[in-house]
Amino acid sequence: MPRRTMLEAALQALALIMEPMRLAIMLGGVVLGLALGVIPGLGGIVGLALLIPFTYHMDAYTAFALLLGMASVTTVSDFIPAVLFGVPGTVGAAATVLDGFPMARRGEAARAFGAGYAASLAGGVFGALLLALAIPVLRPAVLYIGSSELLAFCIFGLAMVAVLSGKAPLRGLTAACIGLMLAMIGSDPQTGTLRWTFDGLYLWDHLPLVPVTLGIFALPELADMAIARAGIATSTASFSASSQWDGVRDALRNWRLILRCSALGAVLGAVPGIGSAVIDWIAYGHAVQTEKNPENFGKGDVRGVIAAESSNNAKEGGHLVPTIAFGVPAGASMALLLSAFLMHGLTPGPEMLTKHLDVTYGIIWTLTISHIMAAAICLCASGLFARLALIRVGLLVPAVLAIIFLGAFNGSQSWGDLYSMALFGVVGWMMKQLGWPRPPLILGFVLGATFERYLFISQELYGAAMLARPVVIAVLLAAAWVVARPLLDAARRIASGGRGRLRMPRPSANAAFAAGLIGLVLLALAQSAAWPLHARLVPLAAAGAALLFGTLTLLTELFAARRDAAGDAAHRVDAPALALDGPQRMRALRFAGWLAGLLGAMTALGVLPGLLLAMLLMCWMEFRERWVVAGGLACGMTLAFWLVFDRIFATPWPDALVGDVWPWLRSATGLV
Amino acid sequence: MRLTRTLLAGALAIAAILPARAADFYAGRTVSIVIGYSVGGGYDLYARLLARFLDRHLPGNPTVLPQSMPGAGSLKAVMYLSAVAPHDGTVFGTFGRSMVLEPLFNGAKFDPRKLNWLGSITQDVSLCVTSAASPIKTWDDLITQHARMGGQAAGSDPDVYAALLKHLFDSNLRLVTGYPGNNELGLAMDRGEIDGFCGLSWSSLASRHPEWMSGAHKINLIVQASAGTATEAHAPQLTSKITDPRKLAALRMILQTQAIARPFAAPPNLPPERIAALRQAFLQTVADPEFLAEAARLGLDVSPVPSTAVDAMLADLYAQPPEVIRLAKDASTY
Repeated sequence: MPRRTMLEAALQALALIMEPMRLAIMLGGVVLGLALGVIPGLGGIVGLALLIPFTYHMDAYTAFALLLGMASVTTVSDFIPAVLFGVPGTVGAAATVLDGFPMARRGEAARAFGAGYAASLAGGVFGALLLALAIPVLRPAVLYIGSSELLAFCIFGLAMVAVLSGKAPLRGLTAACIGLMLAMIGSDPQTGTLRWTFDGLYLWDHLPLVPVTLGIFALPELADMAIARAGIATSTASFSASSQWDGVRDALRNWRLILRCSALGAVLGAVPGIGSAVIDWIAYGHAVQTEKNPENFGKGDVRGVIAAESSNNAKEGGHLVPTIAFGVPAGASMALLLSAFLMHGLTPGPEMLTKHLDVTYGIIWTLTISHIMAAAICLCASGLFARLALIRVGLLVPAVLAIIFLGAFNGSQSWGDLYSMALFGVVGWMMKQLGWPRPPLILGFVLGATFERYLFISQELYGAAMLARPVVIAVLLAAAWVVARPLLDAARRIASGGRGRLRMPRPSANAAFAAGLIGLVLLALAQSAAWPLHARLVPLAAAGAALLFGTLTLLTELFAARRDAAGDAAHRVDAPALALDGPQRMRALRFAGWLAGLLGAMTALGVLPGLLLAMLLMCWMEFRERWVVAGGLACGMTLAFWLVFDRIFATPWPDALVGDVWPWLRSATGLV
Repeated sequence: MRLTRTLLAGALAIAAILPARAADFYAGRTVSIVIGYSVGGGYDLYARLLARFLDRHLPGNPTVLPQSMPGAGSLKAVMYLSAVAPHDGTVFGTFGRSMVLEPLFNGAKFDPRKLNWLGSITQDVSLCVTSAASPIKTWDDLITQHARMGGQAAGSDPDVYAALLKHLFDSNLRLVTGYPGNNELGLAMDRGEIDGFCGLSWSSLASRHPEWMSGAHKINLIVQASAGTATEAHAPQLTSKITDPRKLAALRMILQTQAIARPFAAPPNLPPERIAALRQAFLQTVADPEFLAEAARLGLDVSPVPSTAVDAMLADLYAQPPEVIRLAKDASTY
């Protein structure tokens, strides 16, 4: 296409988007998107479901200004709860927790905010720019990415496990393999075998991502807060605009890192099946691997925040590539957006790059402008948000606990979501406490299903010939490069005298945890005995590897001479563990008891009434708040939940015991 | 004669009272449409469209809310409607068209004949297609050559049709399964990874892929599968390629579900006046000019199937002899 007409289309689209009415509507979308991003479990998908009916009578430019203005900025604000509470606002902000949360605890929330927004803005604009520049080659580029290329990208993502395991490679590999096994749960695409579903319907369509992410990353932070009895900002350094600008300057100083992570985010965003839940981790791993002084990562290094946020926002531009060029959605939110395209008479495909080129440019401008709006709003409002960090732990923990349970429930709106989150919360807390890296588990879990899918397709289509395809070779070489350095490091460590010192076996919590995992893997293996070969292949490989690495971990725990604790903690890509003394052990047990009680209350009384009761009692009895305060918090939060989830999102509440006993209660309230 | 007249009078009286009673019930209430899939798919799109226009046709004008209940390829939603959902007329729902075969084929524990059917918004015509570049251009090619046909998962339309071709027509095709959805199958076909795939609906071909209808990328329409209605798709009917009566009966079992492409049903044991009100509102909505205009804008086909036709179809399906059911089940697994 001649360059002049492309430029003309771009300018024409800009003029259309800049009309005051459209800008105002886009601003409305941006504000809603920021609000949805802050609430864990809500995000672009529910926002699109809510907004699409309102766009029926708008023209295409306005509709996409509203929809994309909303959807593209949830990854800007999801960062706020990640920094303040250690609770990722969407699944894409989990990596931000690692450095953002420690910064907030040091009283540097403002600096983290500044750096995060600047990185988000840069990433978002980068993604849009890449999309704009790629238009002439969009279709050939996407056609070039076949099933074996998708497989190679999955392998590249999985290779990051090597970096994200830090100095605990055996534990990281074990966790990644177990993540892969978790991804295999549900109906198998090749044979339809129901794998590890325990005869229930809940696991049939695979374990949902949101409860697992919130359980693994958010619940442990809350538990630690409740155990340590410390609010978020332990130092009471007041929030100042100047420290926010320090953060922006941090981002500017690290512009090279932003460029690299944005490019990574945009390219991986264009690959269907990779998804925002792992893109931030891959970028984070890349930063750990390539930056100087990597030992600071995980302890509140601003570069960790910058890497995660820039990649996460750049992915939106990437996501749009296959959606616009071929109508193949790169993620769940894009699938919804696709229906909006059709509604406005736009057929994704070649027409979007010729006949409707102006709409495509309108979309690109919307991405750019909405990110600018979002960054400006957040920079202005973050003084307000940062004050949340000063809330007493006794109010914060019950309220946030209730929020993440509702967020998890949004996963597939069944009891299973609530139980899964609690279960993975316990596992996540133990991993954190015992120094097992958690990111590898998520990488394995998110990439597992896509990996299996394209492994079979590539094998069926190409066999070994897939290894002769240029893109596959390039991506696999990149993966090898990612793995090589940690491998060499480990080899060097062993060579330089870390070997040979054995001791008498001594039981430890870590050995018990490893043994427990091995036991679970063996049970899972026993269950899989009757599956047909195609359904068994990948689970068997993952379980075999999990057994191998798990056993090696166990042997190391039992027999290897203990390294000094400081050396063990350094260079670990995860948040530091809490040192537990006597009363804190009791608190940990009591917190587990509260979790069980909360689940019980919800099962008996319904989700919202159960949360109301649990918030009230926890606040009053566990944290010794005055009962007026406890009652006010519990009622206020429940009312807000009811308005958002029941009235606006029409959540179908699952059946509780009281509703079985008194059916009139169910038909009268719809809550039980 | 007298009895008939009395009955008729009684029926008329009831018919006059019923809408009023239904209006009393529905006024101020919320009716939920349970959708067995996550947001954004075809079933979801149809259900949300119905939800937008249904309220004005229901007596008492209740609020109509779509609710997603994804799970187990929509089996969760059917089970919910069959056993759990309140049977007072405030809940009905939609689920996969082939769910009605689940109890026959896989022993699922529900009876679709006991559901109170509202009907289907449309019937579907499913096509087997191959790309312009593929050497597979005709029915004979598809049967005799080693065509690479794409699939999604065991039990999905593309896989079931590929299996039928293999088992009932002795095709030499090779199924490459595991693609996430129809969009990805289309891309894989464009890319030349696969020769083509089955299970592409005629309506989505027309609305979603104009580039496949003519020109350099014009695809080959090899065969069409439908419940028997004539269509504008210029491809031979799958049923015309078979003579063995047992095989034909088995094939028909699978094809019949195409007649309830976007099915809607309410729980069993509803008060008669409320199911009558729901059925009437359903039929009025799918004939509403504004509904039709909106459907056209979204590229959604509307060709309603009334509840009586669904009941008749189910009676026929469940009356098939066991050996036909077994053949149909075996033939639909690759």
